[in-house]
Amino acid sequence: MDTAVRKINLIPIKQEESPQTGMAIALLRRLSFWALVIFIVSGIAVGGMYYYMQIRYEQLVKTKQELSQIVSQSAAKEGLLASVKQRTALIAKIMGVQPPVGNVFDMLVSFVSPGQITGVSVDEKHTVSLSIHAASIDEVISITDTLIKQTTAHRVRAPQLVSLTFGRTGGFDIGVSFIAVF
Amino acid sequence: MQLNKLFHNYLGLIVSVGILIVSGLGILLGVVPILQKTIDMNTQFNSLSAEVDILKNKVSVFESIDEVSMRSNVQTLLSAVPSDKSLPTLLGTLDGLTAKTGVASGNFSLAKLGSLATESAQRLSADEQDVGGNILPFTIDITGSLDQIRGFLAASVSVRRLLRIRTFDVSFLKTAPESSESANLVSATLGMDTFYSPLPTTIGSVSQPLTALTSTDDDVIAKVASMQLLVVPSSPLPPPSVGPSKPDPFSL
Repeated sequence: MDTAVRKINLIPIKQEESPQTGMAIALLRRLSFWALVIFIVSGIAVGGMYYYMQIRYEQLVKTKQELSQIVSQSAAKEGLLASVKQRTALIAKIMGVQPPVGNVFDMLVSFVSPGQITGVSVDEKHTVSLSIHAASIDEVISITDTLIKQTTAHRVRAPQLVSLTFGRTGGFDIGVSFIAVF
Repeated sequence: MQLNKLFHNYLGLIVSVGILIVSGLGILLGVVPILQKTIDMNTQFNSLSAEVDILKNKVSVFESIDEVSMRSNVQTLLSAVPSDKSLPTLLGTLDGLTAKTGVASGNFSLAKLGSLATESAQRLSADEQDVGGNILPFTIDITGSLDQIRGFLAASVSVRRLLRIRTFDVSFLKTAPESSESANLVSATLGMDTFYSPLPTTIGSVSQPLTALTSTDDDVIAKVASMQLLVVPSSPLPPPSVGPSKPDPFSL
Protein backbone atom coordinates (compact mmCIF):
# COMPACT_ATOMS: atom_id res chain seq x y z
CA MET A 1 0.00 0.00 0.00
CA ASP A 2 2.72 2.39 0.96
CA THR A 3 4.71 1.77 -2.18
CA ALA A 4 1.61 2.28 -4.25
CA VAL A 5 0.90 5.68 -2.75
CA ARG A 6 4.37 6.80 -3.49
CA LYS A 7 4.16 5.77 -7.03
CA ILE A 8 0.92 7.61 -7.75
CA ASN A 9 1.90 10.92 -5.90
CA LEU A 10 2.60 13.50 -8.62
CA ILE A 11 3.70 16.27 -6.25
CA PRO A 12 7.34 15.85 -5.36
CA ILE A 13 7.87 15.32 -1.73
CA LYS A 14 9.62 18.32 -0.22
CA GLN A 15 12.74 17.38 1.65
CA GLU A 16 12.52 18.31 5.23
CA GLU A 17 15.16 20.82 6.42
CA SER A 18 16.92 20.27 9.65
CA PRO A 19 16.32 23.04 12.26
CA GLN A 20 20.03 24.01 12.16
CA THR A 21 19.99 24.48 8.39
CA GLY A 22 16.84 26.54 8.63
CA MET A 23 18.39 28.81 11.20
CA ALA A 24 21.54 29.21 9.15
CA ILE A 25 19.58 30.12 6.05
CA ALA A 26 17.48 32.64 7.98
CA LEU A 27 20.62 34.17 9.46
CA LEU A 28 22.23 34.37 6.06
CA ARG A 29 19.17 36.08 4.61
CA ARG A 30 19.12 38.58 7.43
CA LEU A 31 22.84 39.18 7.07
CA SER A 32 22.58 39.72 3.34
CA PHE A 33 19.69 42.11 3.86
CA TRP A 34 21.63 44.22 6.34
CA ALA A 35 24.76 44.07 4.21
CA LEU A 36 22.75 45.43 1.32
CA VAL A 37 21.25 48.14 3.51
CA ILE A 38 24.68 49.12 4.82
CA PHE A 39 26.10 49.16 1.30
CA ILE A 40 23.35 51.38 -0.06
CA VAL A 41 23.19 53.74 2.90
CA SER A 42 26.97 54.09 3.28
CA GLY A 43 27.34 54.42 -0.48
CA ILE A 44 24.84 57.27 -0.60
CA ALA A 45 26.31 58.94 2.51
CA VAL A 46 29.95 58.65 1.46
CA GLY A 47 29.21 59.60 -2.11
CA GLY A 48 27.26 62.62 -0.96
CA MET A 49 30.00 63.61 1.40
CA TYR A 50 32.61 63.26 -1.31
CA TYR A 51 30.58 65.35 -3.72
CA TYR A 52 29.98 68.03 -1.09
CA MET A 53 33.66 68.12 -0.14
CA GLN A 54 34.71 68.36 -3.75
CA ILE A 55 32.44 71.33 -4.37
CA ARG A 56 33.70 73.08 -1.25
CA TYR A 57 37.32 72.29 -2.12
CA GLU A 58 36.94 73.70 -5.61
CA GLN A 59 35.31 76.84 -4.19
CA LEU A 60 38.20 77.21 -1.75
CA VAL A 61 40.78 76.78 -4.52
CA LYS A 62 39.04 79.51 -6.46
CA THR A 63 38.96 81.79 -3.41
CA LYS A 64 42.66 81.16 -2.82
CA GLN A 65 43.49 82.07 -6.40
CA GLU A 66 41.54 85.32 -6.12
CA LEU A 67 43.15 86.23 -2.79
CA SER A 68 46.61 85.31 -4.05
CA GLN A 69 46.08 87.66 -6.94
CA ILE A 70 45.09 90.50 -4.61
CA VAL A 71 48.12 89.80 -2.40
CA SER A 72 50.43 89.79 -5.42
CA GLN A 73 49.01 93.12 -6.52
CA SER A 74 49.69 94.54 -3.03
CA ALA A 75 53.41 93.75 -3.11
CA ALA A 76 54.30 97.44 -2.70
CA LYS A 77 52.24 97.69 0.48
CA GLU A 78 53.71 94.46 1.76
CA GLY A 79 57.21 95.75 1.07
CA LEU A 80 56.49 98.96 2.96
CA LEU A 81 54.98 97.08 5.86
CA ALA A 82 57.94 94.68 5.97
CA SER A 83 60.34 97.64 5.92
CA VAL A 84 58.53 99.44 8.72
CA LYS A 85 58.29 96.34 10.88
CA GLN A 86 61.94 95.43 10.35
CA ARG A 87 63.05 98.95 11.17
CA THR A 88 60.83 99.41 14.21
CA ALA A 89 62.16 96.15 15.65
CA LEU A 90 65.70 97.29 14.97
CA ILE A 91 65.16 100.75 16.44
CA ALA A 92 63.49 99.30 19.54
CA LYS A 93 66.58 97.15 20.06
CA ILE A 94 68.93 100.09 19.51
CA MET A 95 66.97 102.21 21.99
CA GLY A 96 67.41 99.39 24.47
CA VAL A 97 71.19 99.58 24.16
CA GLN A 98 71.51 103.36 24.43
CA PRO A 99 72.70 103.80 28.02
CA PRO A 100 72.05 107.31 29.33
CA VAL A 101 75.71 107.86 30.13
CA GLY A 102 75.02 111.53 30.62
CA ASN A 103 73.42 110.51 33.91
CA VAL A 104 76.88 109.65 35.21
CA PHE A 105 77.46 113.34 35.86
CA ASP A 106 74.22 113.61 37.82
CA MET A 107 75.47 110.73 39.92
CA LEU A 108 78.93 112.28 40.34
CA VAL A 109 77.73 115.67 41.49
CA SER A 110 75.74 113.94 44.21
CA PHE A 111 78.94 113.06 46.04
CA VAL A 112 81.65 115.28 44.62
CA SER A 113 81.60 118.88 43.53
CA PRO A 114 82.47 119.49 39.85
CA GLY A 115 85.46 121.57 40.92
CA GLN A 116 87.02 118.54 42.57
CA ILE A 117 86.81 116.30 39.52
CA THR A 118 89.96 116.18 37.43
CA GLY A 119 89.01 113.38 35.11
CA VAL A 120 86.18 110.98 34.36
CA SER A 121 86.08 108.04 32.01
CA VAL A 122 83.44 105.46 31.30
CA ASP A 123 84.20 102.25 29.45
CA GLU A 124 81.97 99.88 27.51
CA LYS A 125 81.09 97.92 30.63
CA HIS A 126 79.95 101.14 32.31
CA THR A 127 82.91 101.15 34.64
CA VAL A 128 83.43 104.72 35.74
CA SER A 129 86.97 105.75 36.60
CA LEU A 130 87.06 109.00 38.48
CA SER A 131 90.01 111.19 39.44
CA ILE A 132 89.31 113.64 42.22
CA HIS A 133 91.35 116.27 43.93
CA ALA A 134 90.38 116.68 47.57
CA ALA A 135 91.74 119.53 49.69
CA SER A 136 91.71 117.63 52.95
CA ILE A 137 91.40 114.17 54.41
CA ASP A 138 87.90 115.11 55.62
CA GLU A 139 86.83 115.64 52.04
CA VAL A 140 88.31 112.25 51.11
CA ILE A 141 86.34 110.60 53.90
CA SER A 142 83.20 112.47 52.90
CA ILE A 143 83.56 111.38 49.27
CA THR A 144 84.16 107.73 50.11
CA ASP A 145 81.27 107.74 52.59
CA THR A 146 78.90 109.14 49.98
CA LEU A 147 80.11 106.61 47.43
CA ILE A 148 79.32 103.81 49.85
CA LYS A 149 75.85 105.31 50.37
CA GLN A 150 75.37 105.33 46.59
CA THR A 151 76.25 101.64 46.60
CA THR A 152 73.68 100.95 49.29
CA ALA A 153 71.13 102.85 47.21
CA HIS A 154 72.05 100.59 44.25
CA ARG A 155 73.07 103.49 42.07
CA VAL A 156 76.61 102.15 41.75
CA ARG A 157 78.21 98.74 42.09
CA ALA A 158 81.66 97.51 43.08
CA PRO A 159 83.21 100.81 44.22
CA GLN A 160 86.97 100.67 44.53
CA LEU A 161 89.53 103.10 45.83
CA VAL A 162 92.15 102.76 43.14
CA SER A 163 94.68 105.30 44.38
CA LEU A 164 95.20 107.86 47.12
CA THR A 165 98.10 110.24 46.75
CA PHE A 166 99.15 113.11 48.94
CA GLY A 167 100.09 115.80 46.49
CA ARG A 168 103.14 118.06 46.75
CA THR A 169 100.96 121.11 46.40
CA GLY A 170 98.81 119.94 49.25
CA GLY A 171 95.58 118.04 49.16
CA PHE A 172 94.89 114.52 48.01
CA ASP A 173 94.51 112.99 44.56
CA ILE A 174 92.05 110.13 44.69
CA GLY A 175 91.32 107.56 42.05
CA VAL A 176 88.04 105.68 42.45
CA SER A 177 86.20 103.34 40.15
CA PHE A 178 82.74 101.85 40.21
CA ILE A 179 80.18 100.39 37.88
CA ALA A 180 77.37 102.77 37.12
CA VAL A 181 73.85 101.39 37.27
CA PHE A 182 71.68 103.08 34.64
CA MET B 1 17.58 17.70 -14.05
CA GLN B 2 19.35 17.09 -10.76
CA LEU B 3 21.17 20.47 -11.01
CA ASN B 4 17.95 22.24 -11.77
CA LYS B 5 16.38 20.61 -8.78
CA LEU B 6 19.30 21.57 -6.59
CA PHE B 7 19.17 25.18 -7.85
CA HIS B 8 15.48 25.31 -7.23
CA ASN B 9 15.92 23.99 -3.74
CA TYR B 10 18.70 26.42 -2.78
CA LEU B 11 17.54 29.50 -4.73
CA GLY B 12 16.98 31.60 -1.60
CA LEU B 13 20.33 30.67 -0.25
CA ILE B 14 22.12 31.49 -3.49
CA VAL B 15 20.42 34.91 -3.71
CA SER B 16 21.37 35.71 -0.11
CA VAL B 17 24.98 34.73 -0.67
CA GLY B 18 25.05 36.73 -3.91
CA ILE B 19 23.72 39.83 -2.20
CA LEU B 20 26.22 39.38 0.59
CA ILE B 21 29.13 39.09 -1.84
CA VAL B 22 27.99 42.07 -3.96
CA SER B 23 27.44 44.22 -0.86
CA GLY B 24 30.80 43.23 0.61
CA LEU B 25 32.65 43.92 -2.63
CA GLY B 26 30.76 47.17 -3.07
CA ILE B 27 31.76 48.33 0.38
CA LEU B 28 35.36 47.21 -0.02
CA LEU B 29 35.94 48.40 -3.56
CA GLY B 30 33.55 51.34 -3.73
CA VAL B 31 32.64 52.85 -0.39
CA VAL B 32 35.98 52.47 1.41
CA PRO B 33 38.13 54.05 -1.35
CA ILE B 34 35.71 56.96 -1.70
CA LEU B 35 35.70 57.37 2.07
CA GLN B 36 39.49 57.40 2.02
CA LYS B 37 39.46 60.01 -0.74
CA THR B 38 36.96 62.08 1.21
CA ILE B 39 39.17 61.94 4.30
CA ASP B 40 42.23 62.93 2.22
CA MET B 41 40.26 65.75 0.63
CA ASN B 42 39.16 66.91 4.06
CA THR B 43 42.80 67.04 5.17
CA GLN B 44 43.70 69.04 2.06
CA PHE B 45 40.67 71.20 2.61
CA ASN B 46 41.74 72.03 6.15
CA SER B 47 45.27 72.87 5.02
CA LEU B 48 43.93 75.00 2.16
CA SER B 49 41.46 76.61 4.49
CA ALA B 50 44.32 77.67 6.79
CA GLU B 51 46.15 79.18 3.81
CA VAL B 52 43.00 81.00 2.73
CA ASP B 53 42.59 82.37 6.26
CA ILE B 54 46.16 83.70 6.12
CA LEU B 55 45.47 85.26 2.74
CA LYS B 56 42.22 86.80 3.99
CA ASN B 57 44.11 88.22 6.95
CA LYS B 58 46.77 89.57 4.61
CA VAL B 59 44.20 91.20 2.39
CA SER B 60 42.49 92.78 5.39
CA VAL B 61 45.89 94.06 6.58
CA PHE B 62 46.56 95.55 3.15
CA GLU B 63 43.16 97.17 3.13
CA SER B 64 43.92 98.79 6.47
CA ILE B 65 47.23 100.20 5.26
CA ASP B 66 47.40 103.77 4.14
CA GLU B 67 50.21 103.67 1.62
CA VAL B 68 51.00 107.37 1.92
CA SER B 69 51.39 107.30 5.70
CA MET B 70 53.33 104.07 5.45
CA ARG B 71 55.81 105.70 3.08
CA SER B 72 56.08 108.59 5.50
CA ASN B 73 56.78 106.14 8.33
CA VAL B 74 59.52 104.47 6.31
CA GLN B 75 61.10 107.88 5.67
CA THR B 76 60.91 108.74 9.38
CA LEU B 77 62.48 105.47 10.42
CA LEU B 78 65.15 105.73 7.74
CA SER B 79 66.11 109.13 9.12
CA ALA B 80 66.86 107.41 12.44
CA VAL B 81 68.58 104.34 11.04
CA PRO B 82 69.44 104.75 7.38
CA SER B 83 69.85 101.90 4.94
CA ASP B 84 73.54 102.64 4.46
CA LYS B 85 76.36 104.34 6.37
CA SER B 86 75.09 107.74 5.20
CA LEU B 87 78.09 109.77 6.35
CA PRO B 88 76.48 113.09 5.37
CA THR B 89 73.61 112.57 7.82
CA LEU B 90 76.04 111.44 10.53
CA LEU B 91 78.27 114.46 10.11
CA GLY B 92 75.25 116.73 9.83
CA THR B 93 73.78 115.31 13.03
CA LEU B 94 77.06 115.75 14.92
CA ASP B 95 77.36 119.26 13.55
CA GLY B 96 73.81 119.99 14.67
CA LEU B 97 74.49 118.53 18.09
CA THR B 98 77.60 120.61 18.66
CA ALA B 99 75.77 123.73 17.50
CA LYS B 100 72.79 122.93 19.71
CA THR B 101 74.80 122.26 22.86
CA GLY B 102 77.52 124.83 22.26
CA VAL B 103 80.48 122.48 22.47
CA ALA B 104 83.40 122.77 20.09
CA SER B 105 84.19 119.65 18.13
CA GLY B 106 87.73 118.57 17.46
CA ASN B 107 89.05 115.34 16.00
CA PHE B 108 86.58 113.02 14.40
CA SER B 109 87.56 109.56 13.26
CA LEU B 110 85.63 106.64 11.90
CA ALA B 111 86.86 103.31 13.18
CA LYS B 112 85.30 100.97 10.64
CA LEU B 113 84.75 102.92 7.49
CA GLY B 114 85.16 100.15 4.89
CA SER B 115 83.05 100.45 1.83
CA LEU B 116 81.06 103.61 1.44
CA ALA B 117 78.18 101.58 0.08
CA THR B 118 76.04 99.25 2.09
CA GLU B 119 77.65 95.92 2.73
CA SER B 120 74.65 93.68 3.02
CA ALA B 121 76.76 90.52 2.94
CA GLN B 122 79.17 91.82 5.55
CA ARG B 123 79.66 89.55 8.53
CA LEU B 124 78.08 91.04 11.62
CA SER B 125 79.95 91.26 14.90
CA ALA B 126 78.44 89.84 18.08
CA ASP B 127 77.36 93.33 19.10
CA GLU B 128 75.78 93.90 15.71
CA GLN B 129 74.01 90.56 15.91
CA ASP B 130 72.59 91.57 19.29
CA VAL B 131 71.26 94.79 17.84
CA GLY B 132 70.23 93.23 14.56
CA GLY B 133 71.85 95.89 12.39
CA ASN B 134 75.18 97.30 11.36
CA ILE B 135 77.20 99.49 13.69
CA LEU B 136 79.50 102.25 12.54
CA PRO B 137 81.82 103.19 15.42
CA PHE B 138 83.50 106.58 15.54
CA THR B 139 85.35 108.81 17.95
CA ILE B 140 84.86 112.52 18.45
CA ASP B 141 86.64 115.04 20.64
CA ILE B 142 84.57 117.85 22.06
CA THR B 143 85.42 120.74 24.29
CA GLY B 144 83.15 122.93 26.37
CA SER B 145 81.93 123.62 29.84
CA LEU B 146 80.79 120.73 31.99
CA ASP B 147 77.16 121.68 31.42
CA GLN B 148 77.68 121.81 27.69
CA ILE B 149 79.32 118.40 27.71
CA ARG B 150 76.46 117.04 29.80
CA GLY B 151 74.03 118.60 27.36
CA PHE B 152 75.84 116.94 24.48
CA LEU B 153 75.75 113.55 26.20
CA ALA B 154 72.06 113.89 26.97
CA ALA B 155 71.09 115.21 23.54
CA SER B 156 73.10 112.66 21.59
CA VAL B 157 70.76 109.84 22.57
CA SER B 158 67.62 111.75 21.67
CA VAL B 159 68.20 112.83 18.11
CA ARG B 160 67.74 111.35 14.71
CA ARG B 161 69.90 109.63 13.52
CA LEU B 162 70.37 107.28 16.42
CA LEU B 163 73.68 107.42 18.29
CA ARG B 164 75.06 105.50 21.19
CA ILE B 165 77.83 106.61 23.53
CA ARG B 166 80.05 103.60 24.05
CA THR B 167 82.83 105.20 26.08
CA PHE B 168 83.83 108.65 27.16
CA ASP B 169 86.86 110.18 28.70
CA VAL B 170 86.54 113.64 30.21
CA SER B 171 89.51 115.74 31.23
CA PHE B 172 89.26 119.01 33.07
CA LEU B 173 91.47 121.41 31.21
CA LYS B 174 91.37 124.28 33.59
CA THR B 175 90.27 124.76 37.12
CA ALA B 176 89.61 128.40 37.51
CA PRO B 177 87.49 130.23 40.06
CA GLU B 178 83.78 129.45 39.74
CA SER B 179 83.00 132.96 38.63
CA SER B 180 85.41 132.77 35.73
CA GLU B 181 83.91 132.17 32.32
CA SER B 182 86.40 129.41 31.61
CA ALA B 183 85.68 127.62 34.85
CA ASN B 184 85.32 123.87 34.47
CA LEU B 185 86.34 123.89 30.83
CA VAL B 186 86.52 120.24 29.93
CA SER B 187 87.61 118.19 27.00
CA ALA B 188 85.91 114.91 26.26
CA THR B 189 86.76 112.09 23.91
CA LEU B 190 83.64 110.14 23.09
CA GLY B 191 83.62 106.66 21.62
CA MET B 192 80.28 106.50 19.87
CA ASP B 193 78.31 104.22 17.58
CA THR B 194 75.80 104.96 14.93
CA PHE B 195 73.64 102.42 13.20
CA TYR B 196 72.51 101.50 9.75
CA SER B 197 70.78 98.53 8.21
CA PRO B 198 69.83 97.68 4.65
CA LEU B 199 66.16 97.47 3.90
CA PRO B 200 64.77 93.99 3.28
CA THR B 201 65.28 92.96 -0.32
CA THR B 202 62.68 90.24 -0.44
CA ILE B 203 59.19 89.81 0.82
CA GLY B 204 57.73 86.55 2.07
CA SER B 205 55.81 84.12 -0.07
CA VAL B 206 52.16 84.78 -0.81
CA SER B 207 51.05 82.32 1.85
CA GLN B 208 53.41 83.64 4.53
CA PRO B 209 51.50 85.19 7.43
CA LEU B 210 51.62 88.94 7.80
CA THR B 211 50.86 91.00 10.86
CA ALA B 212 49.71 94.57 10.89
CA LEU B 213 51.62 97.22 12.80
CA THR B 214 51.29 96.66 16.50
CA SER B 215 50.98 99.32 19.17
CA THR B 216 54.67 98.73 19.93
CA ASP B 217 55.53 99.54 16.32
CA ASP B 218 53.36 102.67 16.49
CA ASP B 219 55.05 103.69 19.74
CA VAL B 220 58.50 103.33 18.18
CA ILE B 221 57.43 105.35 15.13
CA ALA B 222 55.96 108.06 17.38
CA LYS B 223 59.09 108.09 19.50
CA VAL B 224 61.36 108.43 16.48
CA ALA B 225 59.11 111.11 15.00
CA SER B 226 59.35 113.07 18.25
CA MET B 227 63.16 113.02 18.15
CA GLN B 228 64.79 116.10 16.83
CA LEU B 229 65.96 115.83 13.26
CA LEU B 230 69.14 117.86 13.09
CA VAL B 231 69.81 117.29 9.44
CA VAL B 232 67.40 117.29 6.56
CA PRO B 233 68.47 115.02 3.76
CA SER B 234 69.16 117.13 0.68
CA SER B 235 68.10 114.37 -1.66
CA PRO B 236 65.35 111.82 -1.19
CA LEU B 237 66.40 108.77 0.74
CA PRO B 238 67.41 105.90 -1.51
CA PRO B 239 64.57 103.56 -2.30
CA PRO B 240 64.98 100.04 -1.10
CA SER B 241 65.87 97.64 -3.87
CA VAL B 242 64.61 94.17 -4.60
CA GLY B 243 65.71 91.49 -7.00
CA PRO B 244 64.97 91.97 -10.70
CA SER B 245 62.60 89.02 -10.83
CA LYS B 246 59.99 90.73 -8.70
CA PRO B 247 58.27 94.09 -8.98
CA ASP B 248 59.86 96.61 -6.65
CA PRO B 249 57.52 96.64 -3.64
CA PHE B 250 59.71 99.07 -1.71
CA SER B 251 59.87 101.84 -4.26
CA LEU B 252 59.16 105.13 -2.59
